[in-house]
Amino acid sequence: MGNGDRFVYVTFIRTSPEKLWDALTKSEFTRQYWFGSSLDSTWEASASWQLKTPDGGLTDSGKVVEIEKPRRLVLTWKHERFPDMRDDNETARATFELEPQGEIVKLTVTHESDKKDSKLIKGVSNGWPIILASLKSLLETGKPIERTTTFPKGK
Amino acid sequence: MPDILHRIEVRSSPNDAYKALTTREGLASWWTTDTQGTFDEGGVIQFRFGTRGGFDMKVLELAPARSVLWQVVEGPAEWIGTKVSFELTKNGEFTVILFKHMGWKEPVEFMHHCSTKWAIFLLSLKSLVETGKGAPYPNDIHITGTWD
Repeated sequence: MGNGDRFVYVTFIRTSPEKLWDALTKSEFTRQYWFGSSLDSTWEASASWQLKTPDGGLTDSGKVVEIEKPRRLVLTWKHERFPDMRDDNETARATFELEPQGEIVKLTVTHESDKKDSKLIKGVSNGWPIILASLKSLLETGKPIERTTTFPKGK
Repeated sequence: MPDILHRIEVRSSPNDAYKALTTREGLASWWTTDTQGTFDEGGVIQFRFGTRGGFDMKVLELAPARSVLWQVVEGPAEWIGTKVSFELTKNGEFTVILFKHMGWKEPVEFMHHCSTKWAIFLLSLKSLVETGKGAPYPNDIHITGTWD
């Protein structure tokens, strides 16, 4: 890592680290704010994880590199579905850091590749902002952003 | 290595069914309107379904009015390397189409989904050759509540 592409997103959410952790790692939550996708893993170090669309198709997968509930989660990340987001390596990583600050939690999502002009990082840079905005809405108001509850339609 | 299998009869000649499987106009009229590429043996056809993604099929073998064999060279991970074939046999006024999508690594949930979608698109193919009008993407029947 270091010379490749990187996407960083920081947001502050009025919730607890435990609730935010659950929302990031359990399908009952991800289905609401992550375009209907389910996320499966045992969430142990070295375990595999899989993100799937509602038709059961695999969109992304990887391994759990580091896990420190409810503060830090590092995943390897490989895109599995769309040709225009598939890179020829499996070295991309996503890091989730949760830092409690009084009544809020600072969430930092870093998605990085060792490649320049990574198609994966370009793709996730389009996806994360609306997904994480919807996650914030869900935790603070009980309702996600409507357009993230189903997979995008059309072209 | 499980396979998806379907059988359907269409009221047409094997040659008309073959045209629907091997030309841009034919494929775009029953599978997806966004169909491009090279349709001869050895060519690659790009089938796209908007935000749902798509498939690149290499045309491995063509036997006029008899059979078509493709291999998936790009698309969802579950599909890459799998093969798709259509075998045509004349049966009176009808043509029997035996469809196979071969070589899935595992019978995952997505395979159940794709099996249903193939059946829907084969009915679209039947409608196309019998009435001149199919129901390709984006006018296909949707089977997932929050997607497709």
